[in-house]
Amino acid sequence: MAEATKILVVDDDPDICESLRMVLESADYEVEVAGSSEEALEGVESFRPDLILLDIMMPDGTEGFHFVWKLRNEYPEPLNAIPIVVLTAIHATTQMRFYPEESDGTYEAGEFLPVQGFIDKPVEPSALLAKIKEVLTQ
Amino acid sequence: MQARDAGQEHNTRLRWMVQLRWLAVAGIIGLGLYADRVLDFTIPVRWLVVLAVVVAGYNLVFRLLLRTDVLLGARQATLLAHAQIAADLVALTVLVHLTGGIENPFAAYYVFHMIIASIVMPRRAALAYATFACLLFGTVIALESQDLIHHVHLPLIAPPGLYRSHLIWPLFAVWASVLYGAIYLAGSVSARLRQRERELAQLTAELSEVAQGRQETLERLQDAQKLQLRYMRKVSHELRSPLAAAVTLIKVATDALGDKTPDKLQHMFQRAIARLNQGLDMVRDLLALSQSREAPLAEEVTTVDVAQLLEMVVDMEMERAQQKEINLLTDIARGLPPVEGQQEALAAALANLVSNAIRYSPTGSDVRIQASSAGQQVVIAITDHGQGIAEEDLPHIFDEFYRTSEAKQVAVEGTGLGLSIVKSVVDTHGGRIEVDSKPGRGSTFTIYLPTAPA
Repeated sequence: MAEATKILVVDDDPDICESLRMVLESADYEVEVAGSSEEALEGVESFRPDLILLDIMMPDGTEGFHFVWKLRNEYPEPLNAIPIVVLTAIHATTQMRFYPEESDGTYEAGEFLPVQGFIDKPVEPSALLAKIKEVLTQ
Repeated sequence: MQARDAGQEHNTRLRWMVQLRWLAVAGIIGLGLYADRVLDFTIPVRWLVVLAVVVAGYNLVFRLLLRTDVLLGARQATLLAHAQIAADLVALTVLVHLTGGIENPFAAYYVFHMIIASIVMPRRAALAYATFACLLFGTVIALESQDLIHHVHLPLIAPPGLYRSHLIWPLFAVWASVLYGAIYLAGSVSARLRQRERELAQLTAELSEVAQGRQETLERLQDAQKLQLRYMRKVSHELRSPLAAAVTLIKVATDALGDKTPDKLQHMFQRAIARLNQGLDMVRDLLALSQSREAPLAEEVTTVDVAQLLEMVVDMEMERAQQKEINLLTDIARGLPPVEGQQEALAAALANLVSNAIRYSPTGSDVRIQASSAGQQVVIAITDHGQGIAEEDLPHIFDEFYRTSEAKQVAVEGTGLGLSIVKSVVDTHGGRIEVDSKPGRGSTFTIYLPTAPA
């Protein structure tokens, strides 16, 4: 059997991490969790996931954005192209953008987040699995 | 800055005097020659040329002292002004003496010097110059009348004995009164001008101070607003996180239990999830409401294409509509002018109206979205064929937490904040919202938004 698909879950809430791990492992994914964006960046290098599930609104409200920006701009191929699905309390269809106050010249204020999908929080297990499948087959 | 401006103004005036003096030099030589050659007066042209050269000489010195790139101090500028006027008065007196003394009509030219003195100097200094001029001219005509110095006679202009007669003193008095009169008038005008200039300068300074103060206040307010926004987002995150975690935990747990869960328990889990979701929606809507009440931050305001906005809204609501087999019909006028505002807030407000229309419409009916422009406004109307709103409910539907009993029947969940948010967004964008509804026939919500300034 081929190696299991690896998913890195980034969320500061251990309950969410545990629940997602259960859901994902029951669908035969290999899961690692990270509680902060530093841990997540370490995890990207050591675990080399096929997909990242990212909670965008971590405690200071900006960490998730910085994680996306750092991974996309400062990491070598193929790490910088790992698909990201964002978990967000903000409705997915509002098309999340970078906040203006975070603009440091590297990206434009209001630029769309370079991610592959959004999942509304709270997470519906079946919707989550469907979204992951969709993104992985793209 | 102001002192510098005043200094520059001074320098400009002093340079203006130098330029006028070149004209005077040309005038001395030209008119002297004309009087001597054409009018046949016996004028000491040689001395006139000497005088012209002397005037040209000191004018050159002044010109060099007033180089454009050097800014004189106030003291230096005043001194230079005094020197120029004093030298000119002496030169003019010599000129008048050489060309007929009391008989010379050019004696009136002292008036020009008085006017210049009044413009560039305080009144007291100008009066001193009038007195100085009287002294100079008086001395010349007195000395000439006593034949102590040579008198040049201008035949036909004055009788031969005039300069020696007692008539010179009444003539002198008239002449002197012209000088003092000129000083008084020119001095009054320029004093008033100077006063106005000072007031204007002060007003400008005060205004810029006020403007700066306002700018600072505005910046502080915006900073405070940003801080508050950040705080609200954080609070919202903190409130939502435990609820969202609980929902996820319950869902995963029930999924794991699968069919083994008794129906009654399954139902209770569903209720728990529904109640938690209610809390999540409430936090989301409260955040949206509090954000919608603030004036939008300048950097979040853009020019919004209404047609594009509505397309986005239709995309957002399409799935919900399809679930109820509702046709979303759009009728958007071509070439709609843009509006100005926060695109996402406007999209959320319109999506809210469209999703309401879908929610309260019977399955398989139409929801119509129309947009047109009228005058300086863009008009967006969303019409459904739902149950409509009872007349007694109409005045309250934009109130916070207000839900009509019909709405509660259709959808148990709902925060009662949706329309409050819509109205608040429309208000902060300078627009207004109207509702027209007939129970049993449907409702139309109409939003009027001002077009963006060209």
